[in-house]
Amino acid sequence: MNMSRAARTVLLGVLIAAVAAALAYLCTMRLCSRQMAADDLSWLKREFRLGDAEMQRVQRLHEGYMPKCRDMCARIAEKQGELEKALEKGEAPDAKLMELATLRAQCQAQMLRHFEEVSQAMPPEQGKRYLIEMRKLTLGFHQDFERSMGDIPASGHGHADR
Amino acid sequence: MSEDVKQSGDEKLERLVRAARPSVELPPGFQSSVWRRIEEGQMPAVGILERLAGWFLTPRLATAGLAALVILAAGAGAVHGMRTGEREARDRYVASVDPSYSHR
Repeated sequence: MNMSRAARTVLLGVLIAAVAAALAYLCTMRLCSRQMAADDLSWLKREFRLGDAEMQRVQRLHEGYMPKCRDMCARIAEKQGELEKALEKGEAPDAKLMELATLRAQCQAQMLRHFEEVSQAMPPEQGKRYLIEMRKLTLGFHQDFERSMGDIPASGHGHADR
Repeated sequence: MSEDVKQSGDEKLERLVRAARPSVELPPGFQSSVWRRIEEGQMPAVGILERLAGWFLTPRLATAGLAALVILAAGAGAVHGMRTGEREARDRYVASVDPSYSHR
């Protein structure tokens, strides 16, 4: 293809401009994104406009909660393993399922207690908002899922009588 | 004799020609305007590509254009990054207190 000198200049110019713009866009996007999610609690500080003293209290509560959460996760994983073994052996899984459900419920209850404590470490209005937001983000998923199960038509997997 | 007649005939003709020629003054800048129009007629027509190439090859214009483009792109990237980062930061916190959240 025979391209004129002007066309080649324009093409090269557009290419350089596009590369420079793309680099600038990607670099600032990464930088800002990384800056925003610097650590586990950076969102809390910004979203609920917490001061340094409030942030220290929240940090202490968070650090106190983490080992309990990890311990609960380990117990649930262990119980899950026991359930799988029982299923492999052909044993009735009822008892293991109950124990697993109990552990999951205890884990959720512990998490909700933690949310309560954190909300109390915040100014009242922000604490209320935090509690609503966290319940929606954590329990809301299960509630939506369970609610959607009721919407499945009788011909499907649903249990609702229609 | 015939010379006299011829001479008087030339003078008459000359007077007649002089009388017929209008003695109008040329407008100011007439000559330069004529030359400009001749030059314009000789110049080839400049297309959009040539004009664009001309801008790209003008350092001051090219630098200013590139700088403006980079600033705009960086601004758009910052806005997008802040929105993405806000969501990532929220997900990071929620996943730290509810590990099942990251598996959804």
